[in-house]
Amino acid sequence: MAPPTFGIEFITQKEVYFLIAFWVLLSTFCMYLFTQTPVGKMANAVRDNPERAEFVGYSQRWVRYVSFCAAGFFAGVAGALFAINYEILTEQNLNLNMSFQVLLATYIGGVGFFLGPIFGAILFTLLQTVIGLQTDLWALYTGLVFIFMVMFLPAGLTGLFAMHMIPIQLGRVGMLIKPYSKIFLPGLAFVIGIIALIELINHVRHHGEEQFMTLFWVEFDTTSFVPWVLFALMTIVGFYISRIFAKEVAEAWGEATFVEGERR
Amino acid sequence: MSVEALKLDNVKKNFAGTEIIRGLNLSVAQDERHAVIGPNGAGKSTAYNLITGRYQVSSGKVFLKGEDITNLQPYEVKRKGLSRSFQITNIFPKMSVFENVRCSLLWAMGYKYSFWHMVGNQSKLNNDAEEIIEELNLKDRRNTLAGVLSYAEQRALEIGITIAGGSEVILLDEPTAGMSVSETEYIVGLIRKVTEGKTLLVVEHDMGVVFDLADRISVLVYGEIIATGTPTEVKENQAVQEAYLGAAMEEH
Ligand SMILES: Nc1ncnc2c1ncn2[C@@H]1O[C@H](COP(=O)(O)OP(=O)(O)OP(=O)(O)O)[C@@H](O)[C@H]1O
Ligand SMILES: [Mg+2]
Repeated sequence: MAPPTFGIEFITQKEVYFLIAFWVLLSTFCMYLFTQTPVGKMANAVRDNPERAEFVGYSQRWVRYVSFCAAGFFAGVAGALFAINYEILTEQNLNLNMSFQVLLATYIGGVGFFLGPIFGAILFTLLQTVIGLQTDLWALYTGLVFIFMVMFLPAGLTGLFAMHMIPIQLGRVGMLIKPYSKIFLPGLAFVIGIIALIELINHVRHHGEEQFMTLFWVEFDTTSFVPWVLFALMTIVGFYISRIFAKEVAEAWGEATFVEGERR
Repeated sequence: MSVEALKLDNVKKNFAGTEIIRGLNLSVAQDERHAVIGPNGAGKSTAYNLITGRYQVSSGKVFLKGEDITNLQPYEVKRKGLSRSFQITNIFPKMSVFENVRCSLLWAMGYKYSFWHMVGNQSKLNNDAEEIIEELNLKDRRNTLAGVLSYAEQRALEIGITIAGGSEVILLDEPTAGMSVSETEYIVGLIRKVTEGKTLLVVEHDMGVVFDLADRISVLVYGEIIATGTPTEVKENQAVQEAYLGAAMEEH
């Protein structure tokens, strides 16, 4: 046992919390500073166009290497804090699952933006804890969200916001409001419908002895066909209407981001 | 005579057994503006790719100010003072115009892989970047993402990235391709201004631009230089007339 630092032994939850909070904030600040250095700027450039980065004098390998070292440094800080918090380190903290979770959080938040991984980590933890209390299937939902992100939003949630910088810079966000509001309700119906169906199936398979279940603050009879039909309808109708409106969204997006005289 | 800024000595390049560059000899004097012309597919861009280390040569040597730079990496070639632009716009599309230019200045201004300088505090770096943007006539686009610029603006930025950092030898690949007459004028004016006192090698299809800009012209046909000389000499050369210029001049 190490001697106390300034009389603090970092044993109580509160002490540990503030210790971690301090290091998290400090590390975040240092990471931000890193992005403002020459090599940090070139890390952006290499991500954006590695070939051109070489033609302005930087070896993309070295830039990646330095970034990797910096990432390793901060991962080390995280590891130390983890050990203090949980007071145990096992193979589980180094396995694929752990790595995958970190990657997942980063992807959902958005690669390529400073706030992306921070946002992702907060969201991921919320998904894990809040949704984890509501349903046994939180891992399934996170996985679905991940697949959806990779397919449709590879730049993540922060990327979704950043994407809109283009129409904003072109002064054309207004063109998007109508198609977005049109797709919102059918999209929501589809999501609720499919979640309800999944939960219903899960309930029948694993808690079949309980006749009633509560979903979205509503209690209903799982043996009746009414909820099944209702949710299936919601899913199908929501899906089809969303698909129709998705075309409009895509068209409006194309118009809002069209650049005069652009040739590819 | 002083040593040539750029010299190619019997450079050859095969792609899968096909010889695309078939013994290229070229020498460009210090401070000369040298144009390379030739039909589509002659190997002009390939020659650039060989000089700048994007491709490896199959045989032959490339010299920059007398120093052998054959088969160096692109970043090494750039560090030695040779910078190029691309026929197909090759910028940093998700970065602002300002960041594009500033990143292009970093190595040349000695920052290397520094993680102990804050770029925001480097006044010379930032001032130089602003100056280049002003020269490019892109001042009101300073904070715009490069990917959103118009084609002509992207071409201007392409040149800006190339000349940033003050390389002594500049290679431009079809800087005015696909541009209207007024845009071409703007780019030619820009090239003149920013390559002042430098060695320029330019590939260009627009004969007006070539005869306007170049001190000397080399004609590249089918992987070989068939003639080199002043614009007048090249214009009157019989072989050039037959192989290329006759047809190209008629278009104008
Ligand atoms: N990476 C490659 N692999 C195989 N063949 C290639 C490659 N790059 C270029 N070539 C071939 O080399 C020839 C010369 O191409 P290059 O792009 O150098 O022509 P160019 O003179 O620049 O023409 P243009 O005026 O159209 O730009 C072409 O026939 C092309 O198909
Ligand atoms: Mg070419």
